[in-house]
Amino acid sequence: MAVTAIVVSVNNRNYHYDNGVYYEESTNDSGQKGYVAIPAPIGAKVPSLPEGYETAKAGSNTYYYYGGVFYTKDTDGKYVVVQGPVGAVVKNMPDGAKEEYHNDILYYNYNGVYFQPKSANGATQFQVVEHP
Amino acid sequence: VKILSTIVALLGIGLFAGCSSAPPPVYDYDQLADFSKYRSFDWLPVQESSDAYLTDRLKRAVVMNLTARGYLQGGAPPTLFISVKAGGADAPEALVLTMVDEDTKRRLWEGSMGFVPPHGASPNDMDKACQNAV
Repeated sequence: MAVTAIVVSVNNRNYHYDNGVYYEESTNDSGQKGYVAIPAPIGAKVPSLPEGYETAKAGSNTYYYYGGVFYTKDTDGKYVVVQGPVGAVVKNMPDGAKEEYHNDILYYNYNGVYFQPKSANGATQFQVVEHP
Repeated sequence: VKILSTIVALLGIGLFAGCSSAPPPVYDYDQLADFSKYRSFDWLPVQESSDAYLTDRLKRAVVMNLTARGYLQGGAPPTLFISVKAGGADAPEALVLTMVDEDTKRRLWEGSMGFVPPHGASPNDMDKACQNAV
C-alpha cells in the first residue's frame, strides 16, 4: 500500500484509503500481515477524490462518483461514502462489475450496487437501479 | 434473427475452421422480439475475465460485419447493446455473443461457440481467421 494512504475510521473500525481504494489489515495463512482491498465502507469520510471523479444527480441531490463508489459532500468539504443512489447516471463503470441476468434482464453488480446501461448524450452510460 | 444468426454462423465457420474438436455454434433468442427495428449498436463493457486479444479481434470482426449491413455504431443512439466474452474463467474455450435491447435491457439473442485455438496459430493467423470469417 502506498505511503500516501490515510486512515479512515467508521464505527470504531479503522480502514486505509488511497487514491479511491479502501483497504483493511489482513493476516494470511502464514501469519504475515498485509492489506487487502475491500468495498468502500458506507460512512467513510475522505478529504479528496482522485482526478477523474464524476458528479451525478439523483433527484435533487448531487453525488460524487469514483471507482464504483458514490459520495456526498459534507459541510466540512469532505466526501462521505453513501449507498449507490437509484437514478444516478455515470459515464464509467468500474472494472470488476459483474454482468448478471435476472429474468433475462441485464444488470451489472458492483459490490451490491446494480447498474444498467443506457444511451445518454450520445454515449453509453450506466444508471443505478433497484436491486433485481 | 437471420442476420444475427448469419453473423455467428460466419464467425463459427471461419474462426473454427481449424478447430475440429470445437462443438458447433448454438444460439437462442427471444421469439417475440422484432429484430427488424434494431439498426444501431454499441458495446457493453468487457468482463475482466475475457481474453483481451481475442475479444478485440471478435469485436473488430463483428463491427465490420454489422456496419457492412447498414448497422450504425456511433453517431446514432444504440438500439442494441452487444457483449462479447472470449475465454477466461467464465467461459473457458468458448466465445459468447449476447445482444440486449437498449430500452428494455432484455436479452434478445445469445450465441456461443466452442473455441480451441488452432495448434501453433500465430497472432497474424488469428487475425486472418477473424477477418476471413467475417
